[in-house]
Amino acid sequence: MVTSTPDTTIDAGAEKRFFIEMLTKDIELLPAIVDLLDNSVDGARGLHPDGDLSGQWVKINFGNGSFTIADNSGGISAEIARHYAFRFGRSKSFTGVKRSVGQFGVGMKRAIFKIGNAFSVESAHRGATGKDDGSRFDLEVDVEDWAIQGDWTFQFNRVEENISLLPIEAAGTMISVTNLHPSVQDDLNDPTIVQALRTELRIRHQESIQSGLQLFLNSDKPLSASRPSLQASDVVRPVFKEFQVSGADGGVVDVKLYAGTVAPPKREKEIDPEDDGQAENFQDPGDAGWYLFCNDRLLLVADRTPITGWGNPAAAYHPQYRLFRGFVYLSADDASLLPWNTTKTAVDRDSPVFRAVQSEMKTTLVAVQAVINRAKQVRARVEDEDVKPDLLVALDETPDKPISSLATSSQMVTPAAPPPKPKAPPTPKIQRIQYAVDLDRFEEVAQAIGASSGSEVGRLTFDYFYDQEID
Amino acid sequence: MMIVDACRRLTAIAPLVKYQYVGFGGLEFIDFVEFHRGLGVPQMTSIERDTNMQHRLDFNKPYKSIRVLMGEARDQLPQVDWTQLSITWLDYTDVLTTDILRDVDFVVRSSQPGSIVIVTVNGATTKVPVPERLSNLRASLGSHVDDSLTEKDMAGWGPTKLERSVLQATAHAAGRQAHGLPFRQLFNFHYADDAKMLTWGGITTSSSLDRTIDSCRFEDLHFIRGDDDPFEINVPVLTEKEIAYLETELVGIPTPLPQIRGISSAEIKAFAQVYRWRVGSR
Repeated sequence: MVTSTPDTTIDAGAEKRFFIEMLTKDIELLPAIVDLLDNSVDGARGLHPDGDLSGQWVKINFGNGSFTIADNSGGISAEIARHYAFRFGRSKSFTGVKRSVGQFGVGMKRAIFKIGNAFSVESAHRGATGKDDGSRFDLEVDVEDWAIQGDWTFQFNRVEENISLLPIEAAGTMISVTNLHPSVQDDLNDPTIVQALRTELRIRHQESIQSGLQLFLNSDKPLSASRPSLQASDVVRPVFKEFQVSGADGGVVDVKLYAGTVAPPKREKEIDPEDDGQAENFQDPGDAGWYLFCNDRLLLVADRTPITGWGNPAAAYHPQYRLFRGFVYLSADDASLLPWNTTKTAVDRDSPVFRAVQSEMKTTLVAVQAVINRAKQVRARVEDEDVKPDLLVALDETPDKPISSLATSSQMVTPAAPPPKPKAPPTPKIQRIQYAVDLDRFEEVAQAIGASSGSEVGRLTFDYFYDQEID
Repeated sequence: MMIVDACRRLTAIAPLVKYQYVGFGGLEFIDFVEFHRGLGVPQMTSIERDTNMQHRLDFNKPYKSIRVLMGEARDQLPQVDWTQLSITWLDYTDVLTTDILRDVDFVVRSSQPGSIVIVTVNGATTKVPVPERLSNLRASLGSHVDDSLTEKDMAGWGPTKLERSVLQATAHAAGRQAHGLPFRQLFNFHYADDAKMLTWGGITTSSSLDRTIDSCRFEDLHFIRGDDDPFEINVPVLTEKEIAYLETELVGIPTPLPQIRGISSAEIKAFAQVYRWRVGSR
């Protein structure tokens, strides 16, 4: 007798089309491009554990139906390319760059799929010793063709291994995407979107730019980054706390938290104090809020939502807080300890690391708000002839200093608010009465009531009426 | 002062001189005197919102070293040095509001683990008819009010119990976020003088300190309450002679309790619970 074993296997494989769609659905173009840049920055940081990125560059160019990002960040070795770099999701056995931004192993592929339907990658890697252990490769992929293949593989066009790169040859990677999606093509031709991209790159990677990385966007001139600054002097000390939070598996996240105020813009000092309450209501919040960096990549920009304490437990944002700035830097050797989501567009609120940091942000925000509130109260009660109180002089005149120059301070220190002057005792409310009467009748009344002056007659007759009719 | 008595047990955590006291002293600074005499707490800060009282406050403060901060608690609390252990008593006369909750949230977060936080609020029943109590509380506390509550829950001490649960929930969350462990409630006093009042409080803890706090053995004190069930301070009106008699008889709390003809045993029991602290006036 023949016994047959029933087939117990169920096909749960993924359609590549579906996979590509799911992967790219939740990311927008700008974050996708920032994601590509993250890879280049990680490479550069890997080359310079000391953090000095001088000499490192990343060039982004687009137009004429293509998008290219090139860097000298060390390149991808053929071996890494073969086994890890193009896999979807990070393999457990891959030990990435310390203090990296990339973490999930989806950023580069997702970004490429988001931008277009065909791409090529060229990379040159010098190797650990630089002698006969370098590699070079290039590959080209047509996403449409790849989607109908069964295999989850790409093919090298050309690969050279165990070579030595010339000293002048830049070790790095160039990714070119062609056959752009029509919407992407339109976006990249839209000047406002290009401007938004420029701002996004400059802000998100401001720390790396500060550290010497040159970032070019369709230009020969590198982008500049603003240097986070707060008002600081002998009399004004912003909050600067340094502490560590333990993450899962014994890992440690280093935290630096800075918060305070920035100097008011020039024009604001001239606002008529009478008008202050009105005028400030129309002021743009601008850059006010919290900035949260994870491994120097900016995650929250000018955040004024409850996630950073606004409205809970601190007061909700109001224009009087427009000069508030807070900068929080989380860094960890293991990027998976950091509280970001996979698109690096939002924080992971459930992360215990973030909760601990969030709590510090909340109390710090309350403290800085309290300084601003006290100053506002002092401003409201200062009179023209008064000498301007030290607190207001300090907050109006103290210039900003880069936060890197600050000393630690658990509180925001400012000159004390002068005590309010006790109010004068309330003056009794009075109503004056004046009226004219016939002189003869006045004299009769004056005689009857025993009074001599007009004011006395007036008062006594009023009292008489009050006693008789009201009291 | 039962709370002072409980705070003596903080010596298991740190010498009491390492604690500071933060309160709303008013003109009388009664709590400041109690905490200083009872615990020897050297450093004290009083917050006063009525800025017209400055001169009288300076005159009335019992110890020159008391730091007086003038202004709303919300704006003044951040000026306290929270890097020190603290005993903070936010003694409001008002009904609980979201503004008060924010102050509580701030203090619980800011306080070092091992610090005491106490809040006194009006029990939310004064001059408010029962049918309006729930809607009033919903108006002032918003989403903090449990949806499942009904008007029936608002009789008697109902609103006060609601206030306690909202305070504890706020402190629980703040403690968890800031220190890794929820706030441990120790106090839940109900008492009525002119109005029903709630004094709630407890201690901030962390995973490294939690066992030390266990060793304080707060729960050995009969008035410690970790849950919704309050300790009711209910002082019977007695004469000097009756008090003197009961005191001589009570020590060691004999059973049966001593009796005085004409005074119910419930009243004597209530007195026995509080006589050591001379709660209320003679």
